[in-house]
Amino acid sequence: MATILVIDDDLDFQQMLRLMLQRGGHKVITTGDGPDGLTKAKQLKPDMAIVDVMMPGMNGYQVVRKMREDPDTAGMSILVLTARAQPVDREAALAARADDYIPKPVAPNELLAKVNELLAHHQSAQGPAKQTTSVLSLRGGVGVTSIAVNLALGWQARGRSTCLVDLQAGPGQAALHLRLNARTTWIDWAISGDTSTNGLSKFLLPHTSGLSVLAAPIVPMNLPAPNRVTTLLELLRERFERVIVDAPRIWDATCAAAVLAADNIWLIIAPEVGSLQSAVGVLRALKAARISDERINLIANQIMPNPGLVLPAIEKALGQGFKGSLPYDEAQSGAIGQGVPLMISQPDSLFAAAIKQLIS
Amino acid sequence: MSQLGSRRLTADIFADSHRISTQMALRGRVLSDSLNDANTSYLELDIAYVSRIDHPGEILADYALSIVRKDRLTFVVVATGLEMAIKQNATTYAYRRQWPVFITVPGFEITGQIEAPTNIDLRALMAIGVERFIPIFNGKATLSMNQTIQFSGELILINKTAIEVLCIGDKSTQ
Repeated sequence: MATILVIDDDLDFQQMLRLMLQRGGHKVITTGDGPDGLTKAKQLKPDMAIVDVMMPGMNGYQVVRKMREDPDTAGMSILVLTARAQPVDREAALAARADDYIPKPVAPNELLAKVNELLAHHQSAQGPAKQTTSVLSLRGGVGVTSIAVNLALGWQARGRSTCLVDLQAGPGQAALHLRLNARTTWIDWAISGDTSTNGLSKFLLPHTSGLSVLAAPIVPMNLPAPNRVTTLLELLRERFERVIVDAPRIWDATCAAAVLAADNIWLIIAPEVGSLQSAVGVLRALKAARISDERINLIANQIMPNPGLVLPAIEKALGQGFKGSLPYDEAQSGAIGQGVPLMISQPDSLFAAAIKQLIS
Repeated sequence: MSQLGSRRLTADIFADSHRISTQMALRGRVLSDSLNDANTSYLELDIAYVSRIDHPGEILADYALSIVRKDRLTFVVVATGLEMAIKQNATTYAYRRQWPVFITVPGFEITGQIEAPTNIDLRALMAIGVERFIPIFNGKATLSMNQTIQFSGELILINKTAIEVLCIGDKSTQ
């Protein structure tokens, strides 16, 4: 049984929909206008919202956009159901980031099938309840921080409470990518000796997207003992649904702790000889650390418009295929400079779309 | 199986540069009667959602009350709800048939089916009769300057005075 929020100003239709969905085994909340729908969505956190378009004051597209912008409702499944039944209306609904669109009138069994399909898809797309991902490369300049930052924002936008940890000894870059002042860092936490999830809160930097960030120091500092890194990642996993680690660029005890704690390791490879050579070394180190192949995901990052190596050649050399490839995007450097990652400034860009694809 | 839908008729009204989506409580009348009613030059709308033709999916604003001048409308698209849009002939006359049509109005090309006598007279179709809006069944309106923008419906009611070209018959290619 799922909880479904129906937002439609046609009260007769609202009641018909309520009966039909209740017969289908779902709990139904109804409202006749957009602003109240947004409040109910935030407070009651339904699994799905069915949103009409033609509503006075705030139309359905505006409602959907606001839901997607709010971290509390961003991950909700949204179906637009409207009498505006033209192809351009379907495009408008999907552009507003609804999951799907059905024109009115609709047969009850067709609607129920679509609702159940979306709920099932949503559940599988959400993945496991808790997950730690370490983004890794021992080669500098291949875009590890950009990927970690956008991956963290991507999960947050899907409604998963997410923390991004920049595990460098310094100088860290993740806070810069998000235009945050790294006034507290993960090393400050390690030095504090605290071991509680509550105590961790004062070291987290809040980002406007809802993402929490544990920054690295701007000035390099001595690394704490590796067991503090393990404790830190355990505490974060307790508190957040997704933990994204921007892993150190050198293979040391901190880096080893980050990969050992991770459910997934994203090994970032740029299509150039230096990066390939580094990846060979990392894969050997991971094998020596008894990290299973299933946890290792090779991700190609096209950091240049004209790559030096083609991906099949890299796959052949590594004896392993890529899980995904992130396209070259010239807007990337501007995004870093402005402190507004592409996942926020250009969510439909090729780069952001590829990250979202990897998440799903 | 019955369908879930509104008891109001949803129609897309097109003027030269705007699309007005509206939901009408017709109170016993059909839409074509309201459009062809010679006693009034206006059509009042309970609620109007306004879009520009070049971005027809985007709603610019909505208004609780509005009124349109019928003589300045180009056409009206009814996606579904034929019974609320036009009176159906109770009997079928043997001498009438459905003709494929191609019509141009400012900005749009419209195709569909028109119901007319077997010995169709185009001049009579355009000039005779008091009805300002002629019905095109299973119609599709395509924006001439951007053919990816299309509007289709069970019925398109076209303002005769907006028609530039009307062609009848099956198209042939050389």
